[in-house]
Amino acid sequence: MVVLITSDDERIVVEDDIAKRSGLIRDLLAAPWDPKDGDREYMGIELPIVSSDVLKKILEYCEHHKEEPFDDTYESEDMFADIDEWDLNFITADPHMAFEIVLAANYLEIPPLVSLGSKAVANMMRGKDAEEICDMFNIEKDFEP
Amino acid sequence: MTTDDIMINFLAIESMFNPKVQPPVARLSPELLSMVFEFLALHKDGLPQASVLKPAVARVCRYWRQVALNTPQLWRSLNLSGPRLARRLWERSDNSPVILRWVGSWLELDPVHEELIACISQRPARISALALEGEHSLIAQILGQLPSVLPSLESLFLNSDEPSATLLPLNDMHAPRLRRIDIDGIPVPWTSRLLSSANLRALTINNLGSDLPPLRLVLSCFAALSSLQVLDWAGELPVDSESESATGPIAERAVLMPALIFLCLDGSAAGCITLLRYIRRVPSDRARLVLCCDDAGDRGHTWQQRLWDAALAHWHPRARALPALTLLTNTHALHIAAGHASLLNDQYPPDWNTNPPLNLCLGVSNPRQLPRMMRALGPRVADACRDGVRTLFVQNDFQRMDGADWGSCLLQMPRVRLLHVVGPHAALSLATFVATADAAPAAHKVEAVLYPDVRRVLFSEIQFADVASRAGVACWQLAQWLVDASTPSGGRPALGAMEFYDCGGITDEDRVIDETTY
Repeated sequence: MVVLITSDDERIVVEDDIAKRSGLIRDLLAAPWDPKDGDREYMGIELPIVSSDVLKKILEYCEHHKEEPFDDTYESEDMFADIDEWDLNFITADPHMAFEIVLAANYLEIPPLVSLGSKAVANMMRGKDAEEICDMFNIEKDFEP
Repeated sequence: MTTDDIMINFLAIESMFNPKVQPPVARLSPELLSMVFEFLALHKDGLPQASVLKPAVARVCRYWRQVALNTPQLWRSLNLSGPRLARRLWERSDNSPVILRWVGSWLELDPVHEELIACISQRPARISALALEGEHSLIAQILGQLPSVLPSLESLFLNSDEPSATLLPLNDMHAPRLRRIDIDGIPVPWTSRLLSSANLRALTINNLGSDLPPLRLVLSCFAALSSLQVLDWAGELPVDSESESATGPIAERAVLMPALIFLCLDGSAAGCITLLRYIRRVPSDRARLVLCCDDAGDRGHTWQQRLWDAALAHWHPRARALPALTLLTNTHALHIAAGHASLLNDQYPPDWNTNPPLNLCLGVSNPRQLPRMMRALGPRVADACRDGVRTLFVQNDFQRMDGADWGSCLLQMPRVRLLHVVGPHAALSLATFVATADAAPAAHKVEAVLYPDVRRVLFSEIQFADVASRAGVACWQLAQWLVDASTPSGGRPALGAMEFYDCGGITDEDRVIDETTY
């Protein structure tokens, strides 16, 4: 088991197989560990830019995909392939969470989830003009064409 | 690091610390934002989007603009009829695949256009889509100037203003990655290598004119399209002539199209029946079939039954129940669906390769023929739908269907879970059927027709005062029967919801209720 420590100091215990869907965690677990630094499981892995609610969502995704082979590339042939129905429901359940998921998945190095989240964000913007995008994401429009 | 890179990084940092910009959108790095923009430049089906000429994301803020300007995929839609802007976009899109468009029949090719096309032709591998719309001769001119081998072409859209029998110079064109062909008003190059691409996923043919190819040529072409998922053919359809029928049994000449999901045939009943007899596919619950026959209503019930039988025998050789059915005219529709089947009147959606299917739709152009068609098909529909139908959608804006039509279909569908009634005449038909004096009392009829499985009833666009005065039964009475019948007893679950959208005349005060959930 691996202990993940979120930005809001929650300790989340997760199975190795699920945690290792993240390239970052996989690398950290593979790195040599000096016992003088303490018990590895107790020390946990700090994820300072991932909040607990976002991490739980990401772990839900990792759990669902744990049987699949690792995909470490962003440029795979099926980058624009159909979105699986489970994935679609997962990423569209809370549209604004999609941004957080993209950021966290990028930090945790989970390329398929980054792609999935990016597609969801792109779909949110599809068909909208600049003003609508600014309003939707609360962006200050500091540019006039 | 280039000046652009420095500017992007500066703006990214500035954006992250700008208190007016809320995270997390502002925290997307240039690389992530660029990836989002790349997806934005694509259609849902994964093909390049042709309509993105001035991406909105480039006008959101300075940071996004810089990222957008450095995302070549956003600038790859080139309108050849505006050659100067197209030239700039050709350069800004860097080495990305481009979409070449021409829209406008009033323009002629001038030397500036030709120079641009010559420039683009030097890099044929960058052409991923061609969308040419205009006069036939102009399309021929543009095609004639392009290289014959387009190794990256995925989408080809050709639309002639005036249908012409003259073949375009497509026979020598080779595009091994071609996934989609849309041809409108132009003869299909049946012998071209374009139509034998193993990668072809979608073929849309419109307005071929009367100069039809022999059926055997069409079938031999279809036989090569092992990956074709969508076949959408509107206009004249080939008909099995007597001489062709004599060349061998249907089973021997039928072609298997193993990947076919969506088949839409819009033409004569004879043409639909012919193609249905020869096209075979692997049975699938994703299968979707739409038949729109201009003459199905007018040629009599024998043709309607033949059409129905051809569709069923072809499409569901092993199915025990018909998942979905729509009888559709301009003003009438009876829509019966199971599972995820959903929308009425939709053509195949952009995400046709992922969307759950609507399975069968029969259409007639003469709305007055629908009741007759329903009478002819009633028992067959009932047989096919008895166990599978979960959703019943009734739209009837023009004239009501009589009780016998309802009886032949509705009474045989005891598993309906969702009933959606749209329009005053559909409501009138339902109310009339329920209220008509016969052996069964009205309340019992409601229970027998709609129960035990119905969970949700929707009424849309209905003035119930009119229905009440004409059918002798008021909406509240109908609603009361539905509610009474849903009272849990003997293990029956209660009605989950009764909803009214854009309805009026429900109460004594004629109060309009826009959205009400019971």
